[in-house]
Amino acid sequence: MLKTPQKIYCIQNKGGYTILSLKGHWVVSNLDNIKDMIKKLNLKEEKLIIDCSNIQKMDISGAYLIKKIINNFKKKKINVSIEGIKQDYKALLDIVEVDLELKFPKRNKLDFLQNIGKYFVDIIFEIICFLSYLGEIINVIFITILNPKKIRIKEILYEIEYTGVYATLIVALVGMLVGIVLAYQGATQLSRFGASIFIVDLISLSITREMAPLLTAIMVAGRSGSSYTASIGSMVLNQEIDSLKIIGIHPLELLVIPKLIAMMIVLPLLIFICDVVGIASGIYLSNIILNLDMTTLIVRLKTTLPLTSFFIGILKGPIFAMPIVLISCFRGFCVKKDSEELGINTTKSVVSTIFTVIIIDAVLSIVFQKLGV
Amino acid sequence: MIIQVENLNTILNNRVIHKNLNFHVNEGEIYAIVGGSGSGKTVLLRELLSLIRPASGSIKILGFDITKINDSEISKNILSNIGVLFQAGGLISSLTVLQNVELPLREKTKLPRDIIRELSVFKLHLANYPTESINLYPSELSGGMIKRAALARAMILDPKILFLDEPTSGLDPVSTAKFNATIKKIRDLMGITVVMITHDLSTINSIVDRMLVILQGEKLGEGSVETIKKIAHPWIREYFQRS
Repeated sequence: MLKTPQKIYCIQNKGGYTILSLKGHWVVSNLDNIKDMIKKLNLKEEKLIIDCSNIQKMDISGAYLIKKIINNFKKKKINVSIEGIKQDYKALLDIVEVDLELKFPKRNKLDFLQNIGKYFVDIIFEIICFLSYLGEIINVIFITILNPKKIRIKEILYEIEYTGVYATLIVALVGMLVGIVLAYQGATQLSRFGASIFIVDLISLSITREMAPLLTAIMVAGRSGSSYTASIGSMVLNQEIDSLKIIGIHPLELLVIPKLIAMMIVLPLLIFICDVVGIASGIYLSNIILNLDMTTLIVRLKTTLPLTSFFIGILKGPIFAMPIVLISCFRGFCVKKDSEELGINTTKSVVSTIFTVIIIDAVLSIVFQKLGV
Repeated sequence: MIIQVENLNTILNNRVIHKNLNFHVNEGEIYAIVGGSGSGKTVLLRELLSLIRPASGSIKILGFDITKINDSEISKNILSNIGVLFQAGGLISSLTVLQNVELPLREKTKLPRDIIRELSVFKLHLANYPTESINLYPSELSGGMIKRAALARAMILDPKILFLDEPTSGLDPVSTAKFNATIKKIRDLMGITVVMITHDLSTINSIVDRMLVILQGEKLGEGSVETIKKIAHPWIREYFQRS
């Protein structure tokens, strides 16, 4: 493609008629100045001569535009004659049809109110879809329980490796950082009251009850949930889901149940890792910044951390696992037609899984408070 | 010779794909690349498009050896002169058909919008695309319409060479015949060179000037359809017997 557009025309006004000399390359990459040319051709005379003898190159787009100009002037009752055109180019000009029917149906655009209506109808429709999906999941779970041979051990192990084993490092890292942050923040506040030893209570209770379950669930939702949505979505686009149905495998049974089981096993374990690393790094840091004796800290930990708090945190694992898997897989099945939908649904999947996890966590906090544990 | 390939060897993942391939394409002809499944046709096309580089050998397109020059030179001298119709169409799903066809013009030229629109509609018309469906999204199109829309986009910049990857796969015989006629019409009109991968005997018998047959990465023969038909090789004989 030519970098600098060459001059492609020259207009001469001679009393009574105008000569438009076309020259150079009339190819699509070189026609950027055509608007100027049309503007300058503001004819008052009734005769236009188009001199084509200096055209060095012409492609079909160039021919189309020349023909268009000729036709436009002819419609304005201006006498146009073409001179000096090469035989090949004349053939090209004869072939192109310019007066195409340019009326085509516009896409209906919705107005503001219609958009609002559509938005809510879509939400209601999605809720209905999700409920029927949940019903189907429960149905499949019952079938699987009644027929334990249908449990796919291989898929479950694969998912455990993928969502569990490969996530340990990042989860441990998050746990460590949370421990450090809590120790630092707590240390300055507590030492002011001379209550430095309570740093252990702060770290151990907040990490086991809230921080570790919530942050691990968020990490896993972002990491594995999005990949569930993307992989199921692209399977829909590839017609893999349809072919599974035809083969006689229930897609939910193959794609959702193993992920659900694996996630319910793996998430408590990841929370445990997060607990251990978080508390260890927090205690170690308290030792350094508060000059507390390591033995004192560990004895304090032993007396202050009840087993119930630890188990409440671990128990949140399987509870959080359900919305993560169910919502992200549902979002995958929501993909219907193209790759853009895949992206939209992946985003929605991550946002809604994390949001749901936080809501459930809040509800659980209240429930445990009322229960007094 | 608009394309000349010499002593081409390709190795992908420790597997030999092409062994010493030699062929050329003349200007203005419709050239078909034919071969069994897995014989390396698509890899060859990707090499011609400079999407992958061969292990050794030279590929000269429009006089430039694309195995030797760098990416910016390829983009300046080669990519602006070729159009590609990918097997699945490759239409961008977030844009309508018309926007898809307009896209190369908007990116590469400074033409005013109304002229871009007009040229795009004209190219869609040339590709035999029904103008009333111009504002549909690719997901709303049938297989044949996707091919025609993608063809219009491939030739929007008036390329010198048009590459088609199985342009008639998945089309019924009537649509195939129409599509073949469209390709021939475009070739005759624009004088461009067409290089296509195809399995379709009706395409080969009706519009192809010369063809290359590769089997397991090696050239079985090259030449006009008549000369290929005379080659006494079991695969070629079986291939043409189906008609």
